[in-house]
Amino acid sequence: MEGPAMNKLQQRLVRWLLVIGLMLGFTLGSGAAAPADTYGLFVSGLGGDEKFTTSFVETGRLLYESAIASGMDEDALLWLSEDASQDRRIRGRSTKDLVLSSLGELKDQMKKDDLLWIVFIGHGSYRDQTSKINLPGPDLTDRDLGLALAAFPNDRAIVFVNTASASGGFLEAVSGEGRVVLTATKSAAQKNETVFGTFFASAFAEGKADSNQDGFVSALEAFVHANELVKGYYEDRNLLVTENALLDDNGDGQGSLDPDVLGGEDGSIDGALAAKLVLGAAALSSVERTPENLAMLERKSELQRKLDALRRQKATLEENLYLQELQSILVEIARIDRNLRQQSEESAPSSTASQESGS
Amino acid sequence: MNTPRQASLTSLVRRTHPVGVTLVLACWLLTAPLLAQEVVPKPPVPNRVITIGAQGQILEGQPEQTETEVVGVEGEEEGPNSGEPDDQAKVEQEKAGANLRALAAQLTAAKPVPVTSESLELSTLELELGRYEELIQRLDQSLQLVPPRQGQQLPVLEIALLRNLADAHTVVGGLARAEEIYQHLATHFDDLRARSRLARLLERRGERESSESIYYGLIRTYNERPRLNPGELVAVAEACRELGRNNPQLFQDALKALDQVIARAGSTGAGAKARIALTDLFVEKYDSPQARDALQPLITAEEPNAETLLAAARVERFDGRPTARDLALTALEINPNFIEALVFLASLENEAEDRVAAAEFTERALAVNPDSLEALTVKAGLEFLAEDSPAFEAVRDRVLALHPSYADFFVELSLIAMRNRLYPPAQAFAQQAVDLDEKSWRGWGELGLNQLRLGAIDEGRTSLEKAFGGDPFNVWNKNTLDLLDQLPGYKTVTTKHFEIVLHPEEAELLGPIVGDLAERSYTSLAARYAYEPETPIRLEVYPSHEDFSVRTVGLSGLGALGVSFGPVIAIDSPAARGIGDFNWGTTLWHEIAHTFTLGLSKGKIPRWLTEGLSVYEERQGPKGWTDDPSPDFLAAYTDGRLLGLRAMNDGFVRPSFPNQIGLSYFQASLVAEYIDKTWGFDRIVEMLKGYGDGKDTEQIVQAEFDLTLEQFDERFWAYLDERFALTLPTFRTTIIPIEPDSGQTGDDEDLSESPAAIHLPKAGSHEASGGLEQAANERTQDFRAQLAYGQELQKEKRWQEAREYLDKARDLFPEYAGPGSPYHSLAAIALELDEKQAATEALRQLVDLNEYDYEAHLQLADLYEELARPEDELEILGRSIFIYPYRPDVHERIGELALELGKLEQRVGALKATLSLRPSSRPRLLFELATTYRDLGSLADAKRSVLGALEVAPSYAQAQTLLLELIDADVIGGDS
Repeated sequence: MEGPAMNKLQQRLVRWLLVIGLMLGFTLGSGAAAPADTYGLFVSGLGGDEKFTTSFVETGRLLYESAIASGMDEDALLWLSEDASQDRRIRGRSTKDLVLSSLGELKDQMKKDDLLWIVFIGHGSYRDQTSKINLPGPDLTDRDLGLALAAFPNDRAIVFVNTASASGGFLEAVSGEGRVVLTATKSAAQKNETVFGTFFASAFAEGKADSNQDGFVSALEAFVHANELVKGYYEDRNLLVTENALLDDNGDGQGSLDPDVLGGEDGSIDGALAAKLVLGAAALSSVERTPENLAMLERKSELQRKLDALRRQKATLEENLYLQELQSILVEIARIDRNLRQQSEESAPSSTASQESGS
Repeated sequence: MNTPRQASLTSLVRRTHPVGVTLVLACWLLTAPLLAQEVVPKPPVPNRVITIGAQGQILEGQPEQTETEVVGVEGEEEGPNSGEPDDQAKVEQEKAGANLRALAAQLTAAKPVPVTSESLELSTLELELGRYEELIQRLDQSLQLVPPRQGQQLPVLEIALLRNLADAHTVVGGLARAEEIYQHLATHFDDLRARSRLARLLERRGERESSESIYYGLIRTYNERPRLNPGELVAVAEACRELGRNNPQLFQDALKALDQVIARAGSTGAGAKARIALTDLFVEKYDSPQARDALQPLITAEEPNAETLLAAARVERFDGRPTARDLALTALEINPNFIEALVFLASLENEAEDRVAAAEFTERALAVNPDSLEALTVKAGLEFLAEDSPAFEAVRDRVLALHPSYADFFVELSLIAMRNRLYPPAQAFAQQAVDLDEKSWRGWGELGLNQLRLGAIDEGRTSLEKAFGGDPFNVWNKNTLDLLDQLPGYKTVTTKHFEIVLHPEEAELLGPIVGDLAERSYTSLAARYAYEPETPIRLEVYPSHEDFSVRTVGLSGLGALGVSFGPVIAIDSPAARGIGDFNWGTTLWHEIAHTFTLGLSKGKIPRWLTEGLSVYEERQGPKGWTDDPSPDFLAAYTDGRLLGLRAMNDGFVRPSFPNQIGLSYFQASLVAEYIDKTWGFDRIVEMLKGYGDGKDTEQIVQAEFDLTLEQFDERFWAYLDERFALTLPTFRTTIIPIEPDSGQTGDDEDLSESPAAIHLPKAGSHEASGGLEQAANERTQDFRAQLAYGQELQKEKRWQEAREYLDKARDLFPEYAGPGSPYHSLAAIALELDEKQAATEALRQLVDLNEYDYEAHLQLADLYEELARPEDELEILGRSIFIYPYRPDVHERIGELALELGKLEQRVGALKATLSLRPSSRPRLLFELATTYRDLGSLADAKRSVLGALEVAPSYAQAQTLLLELIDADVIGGDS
């Protein structure tokens, strides 16, 4: 069914072609010829004891390696931790100052439509109406981060993930236009140790989180995957659930427990933007950027929008009519993708050779 | 949108059924002090002002009354000028059982009776002791009904004596004389209590209009008269309660009036009467916690009187506690002619299916009063159950002649039929009740509940709405209506013989699994019993145990897992309990078996046999299903605590030791097994037909086996001796763990009250190993000694030595796979030693006996995977679904195994089950489902599934390829 076997690079290229249609606001939608860049800032916080210290570093490592595996360059990744000697890829101690100065540098470095993933792994706390992430030295507050992120222009996309206890308290401070905010807890009052972070990181390491099978794991997919595992974790142990993760991507500062990939009928539900932002590099396509190919991609984008609109109407349409429309759209998308795949396969020998020689 | 229903007289919360079939054996008398600590004392109820409203109801607004009360036979006679209330309390405290009799003996039974406080005291004692005829003989000759002379002081003592006399006449059925006296007291002395009793008397003759007129008059008097004493307030409360059938608000007014009495009179005299009235009112409205609160001060008194004990018995019965019978019997010891207690006991015996005892109590009641409506009603119920139509009709005609609109006669018959699992007649009787009296709200309630039990959901709702309209304080009806409000959202899955009603969130997952199992059980049962019940059988599956409980008993808190009404079954879904709490598959099979045995016996099968057969039938399901012998069971057998056939129902309905109900289920299943193995299953079928023909167990056992019940028991005990020959020696010895430093040596002869006891040091103690070793080596045939030492060695990681003893323990009691069984230890040791084959063997034996141990099932499946035994892995994972079906990874694994084994239909089911749990990997699973459909040749399903995959993941390359393959091949014509 897949045709001749493709090597990993080919598969990734094809996947990029397919996913590019989803990343409308940051690729084709911008009209820019070059794809946008993705950056990552991963912060493993203060463990307090060996068990947590190890766990936080492991989670950071998993994220880092997943990002690399999905095509990101080491230069685009910054991993900070309590003890920089724990892994050679850790670039510094995760102090408040270093986190904030790193954010400042990233702000200067990023260009329009670039994407930054910020992931905090660690303990959190809440006191005197202030939410904090526990770091070596002074803690980082929700206000600190709110101010730091406010300095980023709106056309820089940010995925902010706080996996700590009491992380729900950060949501309001960091929510904003063009931002996806994920917190492990629904409020600052959920202060128990969380398991969300481990499962969130595992989403990028395991293929199962890629629910739409496009080769990348989006923020939404990672959120859904982690939530599923958190639910199972508590159920299997007959425990009371003490963490409920939230996702906010419409800038209203109100997180959703159950976001929707379509963003709801009127787009008011969180989820649509998070579904578009993936962890991974938008590698260059091996398909020639001919007018015909670009036209096909444009058409695909149009079909995707049509599909989204159709899905929003699903509840009101007669089932057979819905299925007919659905089939019509999906068959056309499938034919476009098959065409692009065939082109990719035709240029495969040279790509394969270059990939193999380069590895 | 439905408006929230009100139910409780005092609050709107859903009431719980605190015990139900959970076996709390503690006597209330013993638990009372504990309860007292838990109960937050009620603040004193202010004496609210009551006025009569437009509907005749009492309204608040009248000033508090403070004058001295006049209390009649409820306690003492105390006129406006009589003694202090404290004297009354003293008299009350001295009344009870033996003390009462002693006191009565001291008093002079003079003739003619002088109008003195001593005479009054004696007559009151006679009433309490049930010496009605003696009282009547003395007082009737002495007291004259003389109107008062003008200016004469109120003859308080004489009034009280006359009231006692009339009360005695009422009890023994001398209604004409009673009416004459009450009328005299009401007319000439405006005695409110006499008025209330007169009204009640008229009501019992069916003269409702006259009765209600008097009751309304009482309320009016209350509102017009500034001062009423507690005894009079009780009379007003009675009026409110009786009139509640016309205006339910009056039930709350009755409550208020009784609260006022209690606030003023405490728990003695009229206060005690008020507490008993409150208790009865709360029980009537299905609110046992409040009933218990109300009665608490009386039951903890030094020597409760007969009325208090009966009230307590009613609460205990409501809560399903076996102490109800003992309390009522104690009440009878005080007053052997206590008709209400006799009727209560007759009803209890009837519930226990001991109709001989029920008839004895009924006859005793009728000997006191041949016209007792309640006793005649129970008698009619017994005639109905005996299928003696002429006798039944004769009693019915007599009751209706005494009280032509006595709807409660049919309501009670409905309850009797329902308690004997005869739901169609129960419905018919309830219908007769409402036909006779359209304001019989109890009748409407019973009609609705029985309609629901028989599957007539819409009709049931209509009837319940009617009941609720007339009596919104009935919690059962309220809860059931609330539940019915949810049912339209449920989904119905139809199979050949079942209509399965499922919560919408579970329908997709459970519909196919439940449907498949239900049909399998139906096929098995239909073949074994050569009988098919009427179909479709309605099967309701509730993810909330509370909802299931309400569906079954109208209240939450029921301990059961499922119920079969015959054509309707309700069960807990697996979501209703924790993982491993139960196996829902066995529960389902069990309940469906009830539908067969109830149907074949026309509902007349005794409780013990229908339960025994249902447990026995569970064994026809997957291997490992059904109960297994437990140490408790074998200990109960060796201790002689198991009951023979004649009394076996008692083990279910009035257990006398903890866990007796559970053991009775298993014992009854062994009876079924014994019959099957000895005489063949056909005999069981014949037995059921015999019950259907109206025969009782004694007749059936004689007819089928040519044995008396006692002879049958002897043979059954012999069967158990043989069946458990290997294991029983252990349980003829009692092991008592001892502290290491107790000085006890393990020599049983000088250590225990039980001559058969051996003593083992507590496991894990300093001396444990040595003591346990000694015991194990001395008692080589003792399962527990072997197990205890084996597990001690296991803790010490002396694996091979541990195995030696654990193997022995297993061999001595191979059917025991409960918690801490030898199999658990043997499997753990094998896993520790990485001996997969041995671990697999132990776990396999474990799960083939224990159908609840989810962890063991998964562990075994993992081992089969490691050993590359996919068939076995698939089988065990399939069985695990009956314990806990909510893990998508387990369903997915089943799907993968099914694919590996070429079982594509099973793969489809597994993938659908996985998808129903809404995993994030939905597109991939839909794609896999599509390919499976394609491989099965179901191309339309394949296309629908692949479209589903692409709907969420439009760029899913493999799914795109499949879609185009299906379209391009034009196999499906491109249509949807």
